[in-house]
Amino acid sequence: MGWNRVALVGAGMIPFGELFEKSWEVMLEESYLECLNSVDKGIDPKEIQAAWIGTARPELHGQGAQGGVSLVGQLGLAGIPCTRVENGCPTGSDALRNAAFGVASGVYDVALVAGYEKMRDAPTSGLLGIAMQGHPLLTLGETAMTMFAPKANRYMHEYGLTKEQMAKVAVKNRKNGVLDPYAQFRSEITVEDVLKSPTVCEPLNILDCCPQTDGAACLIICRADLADKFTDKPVYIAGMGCGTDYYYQHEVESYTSYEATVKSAKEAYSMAGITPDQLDLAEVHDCFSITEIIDYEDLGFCDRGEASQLIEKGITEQDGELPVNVSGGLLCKGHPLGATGVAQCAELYWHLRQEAGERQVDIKHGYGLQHNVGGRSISNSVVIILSNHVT
Amino acid sequence: MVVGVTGYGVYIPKYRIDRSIIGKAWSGRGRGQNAVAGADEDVITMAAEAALNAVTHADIDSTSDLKTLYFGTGSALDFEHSSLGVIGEVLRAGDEIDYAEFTASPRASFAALKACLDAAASGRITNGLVIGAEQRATAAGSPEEMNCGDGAAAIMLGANNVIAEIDAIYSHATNFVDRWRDADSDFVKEYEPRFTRDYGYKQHIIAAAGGLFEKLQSGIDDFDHVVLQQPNASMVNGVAKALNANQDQLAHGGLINEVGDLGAASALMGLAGVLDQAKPGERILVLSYGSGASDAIALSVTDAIIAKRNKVKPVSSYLKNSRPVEDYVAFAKIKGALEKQDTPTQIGIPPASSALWRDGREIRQLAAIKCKSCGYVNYPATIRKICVRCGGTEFDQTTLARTGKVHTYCVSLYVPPPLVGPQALIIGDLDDGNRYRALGTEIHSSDDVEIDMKVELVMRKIVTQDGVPVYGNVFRPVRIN
Repeated sequence: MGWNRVALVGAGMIPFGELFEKSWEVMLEESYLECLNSVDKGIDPKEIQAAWIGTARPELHGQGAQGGVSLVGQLGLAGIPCTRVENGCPTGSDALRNAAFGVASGVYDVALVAGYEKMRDAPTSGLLGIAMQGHPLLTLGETAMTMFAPKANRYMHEYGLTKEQMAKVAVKNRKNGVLDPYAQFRSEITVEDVLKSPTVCEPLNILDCCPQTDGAACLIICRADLADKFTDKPVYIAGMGCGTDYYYQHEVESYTSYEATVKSAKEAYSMAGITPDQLDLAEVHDCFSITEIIDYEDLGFCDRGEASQLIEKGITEQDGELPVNVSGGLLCKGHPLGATGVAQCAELYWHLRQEAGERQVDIKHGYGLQHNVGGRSISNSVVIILSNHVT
Repeated sequence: MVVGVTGYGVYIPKYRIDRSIIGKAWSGRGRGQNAVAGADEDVITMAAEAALNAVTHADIDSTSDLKTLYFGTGSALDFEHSSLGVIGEVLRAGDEIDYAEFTASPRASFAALKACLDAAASGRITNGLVIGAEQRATAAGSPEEMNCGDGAAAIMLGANNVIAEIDAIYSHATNFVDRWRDADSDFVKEYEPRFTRDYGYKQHIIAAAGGLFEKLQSGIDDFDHVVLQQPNASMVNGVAKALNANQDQLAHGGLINEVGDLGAASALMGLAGVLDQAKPGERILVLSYGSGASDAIALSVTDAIIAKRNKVKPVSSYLKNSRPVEDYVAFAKIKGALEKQDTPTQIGIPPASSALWRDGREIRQLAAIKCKSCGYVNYPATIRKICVRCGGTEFDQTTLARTGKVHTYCVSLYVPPPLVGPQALIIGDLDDGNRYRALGTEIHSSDDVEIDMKVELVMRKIVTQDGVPVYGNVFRPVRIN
C-alpha cells in the first residue's frame, strides 16, 4: 500500500474520573501539556502544523457548536488548521485516523491528536436523550444501553453465554484498573458483586456498564522518517480501519456481532499485513461487558460462539496469551467518548515502548490493537493497529 | 337498500382494577372490576384496534371500500382537531372518506350509528364504520372513579353479507341534565345519583323501548337478547326489572361488573357480546342511554353470522386476557393522575409539524418499499429513496405484516422521559420476513418476554408533546390468538 508511514512520538493523559473541579478547557490543556512533556527529546509547540480534536457530545455541557479553532486556540495553537471530529464512540480513534491521513499524505510533518469529553457537567439523566437521532419514531426510547442489551440477549440465546461469564469481563477489567493510575475505579470487584448490582437494562446490571466519565488524552504524530528527531523509541501506525453497518436497528442483520467492527478489523489487519495471533495486547471497546465478549469474535481473537472460553481460560487476563484492556478498559478506566480512542492508543504506546510499569505486558511480536464501536445502532467502528517497528 | 351489521370488533384493555382497591383508598367498599387502559392507550388507540377487528370480521377492503368512519365518545381529546384520521391510517383507508365525531353524551355512538345507517341506506356509501370508545378522566374518590371503565367497540354497517338486520329504531329525547362535563373541567360531575337513575336512565329507556314495541307490535318476550346501556349494576338491574327482562335475555350483554361503565362503548360492547353467541333467527333488543336520550334498536340475526364467526376476536377472550392493577398507586400512575416529575426529552418532531405528518402516516400504515433489484424491503418508505442493501433506486410499494416473533429485546429501567421504565424494546422478525424495531407494551419485566415469543404491532400513544399525542407502533405479546 502506497502511504507514507506515520509515527507516534508523544502521549499524554489525565486521570479519568468525575472531575467536577475541571472544565473541558483545563482537561484538554493538562493532557496536552502531559503530551508535550512526554516527548523524549522535546518538542517546540511551533512544530505542530495541524490538529485533529475529537469530542462527541459537547452539547452535554452546553457547547453544541464546538468548532476547530475554538479548540486549538485553547492550547495556544490558534492559527494552525484544526478539525473537530465527531464519530460516535470511535470519535477519538477517528481523530487519530484522520490526522494520520494528513501526515501519511505528505501534507503535514507533525500533527496533534486530542480527544476529550466533559460528561459530568450534565446529570446522568442528560445522557438518556442523546441516543435519539434520525427518524424520531424509529429511535424513540433508545439509549446506549438499549442498543447493546438486545445483542446480549440474542448472544446468550444462541451461544449459551451466562451472566456469570459476562460478569467475569467486568471483574477482569476492574482488576486490571487497580494498576492503572489513569483509571476512574481502582478497586476490584467479584462476580457476585456484578450479579447482585442493580439492574439497569435487563440483562445488564450496573457493574456490566461503563461509568460516566470526564477525561482527555493527546498524542503527537509525525512522519516516520522524522521520528528520530523526537525519540529513539517511536511507535508506528501499522494499520487502520473504519467500518460501518446500517443506520436503524431494524436494518441491522446480526444481533450476535457488530458488522462495523468486522469490517474495520479486516481493513486494519490487511493494511498491517498481520493476523490476530501476532497481537501482544488489545485495548477494545467494552462499554458493556457483553461488548467485549462480542469484540473477541468480531476482531478474530476466536471463532463465533467461543468468546466465553477466552474469559473462562484467562487468555485475555493481564498475564494471559492475549491481554485485553490492561488499562482497565472502558468498564474501569471510564469512557469519556472523545478521549477514549486516543487514551487506548496512548496505552498501547506505553506498552510497545515497554514503559507501562506494573501493568506492562510481554511484547513478543510488537503489535497492539485499539478498537471502538458505537454510533446509531452501534454501526460504526474504528480499529488501529500500532507497532514498535516500521511495517 | 336493506342495510345491517356486516361485522363488529371490540377492544378491552388488558388491565383490571378491583373496585375494592379504589374503595379501600377512600375508606369505602367496592365490588367487581373496571377495565383500565394502559398508560400508552387512549380512545383513539382503543378505537383503532376495535376498528381493525371489525374490518377483519366484515372482510372488506378498507383501502377501497370504507367511505365513512363515525366515532362516538364522551372522552373527546381535542376541540379543534380530530385524530380520527389516525384510525384511518391504521386501517389503510383510502382518502375518499368521511370522518366525524359525535360527542356530548354516553349515547353518542348511537347518534353516529343512526347517521351511518342513513348514509348507507341512501346508497351514498356501501360500508360505514361506527365506533364507540371511552376513557374518562375521573376525579379521585368520586363515584365515577369507582364505576368507569375503558374500552371500545366498532360496528360495520353495509348491505352485503349482513349478519344482523336492523328491523326498527325508536328514539326518545328530552332536555334532561344528569351528568355533565363542561369545557373547563376534566371530570364528569353529577347532580344526584338517584335522580339520574330514576328520572334519567329509567324513564328514558322505558319510553324508548315502549315506542319501539308499539312500532313493531311486539313486547319484551319477542326478544331473545336484551342489551342495556350499563352505567352501574344497580341501575341496570332496576331497568331490567321494570322491563320484565329475564336473566337469559340479559346473559350475554351484561359486562358492568367485569369492565365498568364504558360510556359510548357500553351498549355496543354488550351487543358484541350477544353477537358472539347469537344464533340465526334470534332477535336482539338494544337500549342506549345518555344525557336525556335513549335509542331502542331491534335486530334479527341472519344465517351469515355462523360462517363469519371464526374471524371474531370475542369479548370473552378480551375479558380473559387480563392483568390486575396491583394497588391504588399503580392505578393512579396508569390513569395519569400520578406522573413522575421529570424534564421530558423533546422528540425531534414538533406537534402538528410536517415531519410528524410525513413520518407518522406511513409508520401507522406500515408502508414500505420493496427494492426491484434485490428485493429488500426498505422502511419507512419516505426516508429511503436508495435501497440500503444494494443502492437500487426503483421500488414497488408494499406494506409490512402486523405479526411476528421476538428476535431479541431488552427491558430498560432507564429511558428518556417522558417514557418511564421498565420499558421493553423489541427487535422483531415479522411474519413476512421483514424486521421491525419498536417499544414493547404490556411487558413489565423480562418475565413477560422471551426470544421467539409471538408479538403483534399495535398502535399506541407513544409520547405526548405539548399536549399533542404522537401515535406509533409498539410490539405487544399476542393478546388473542
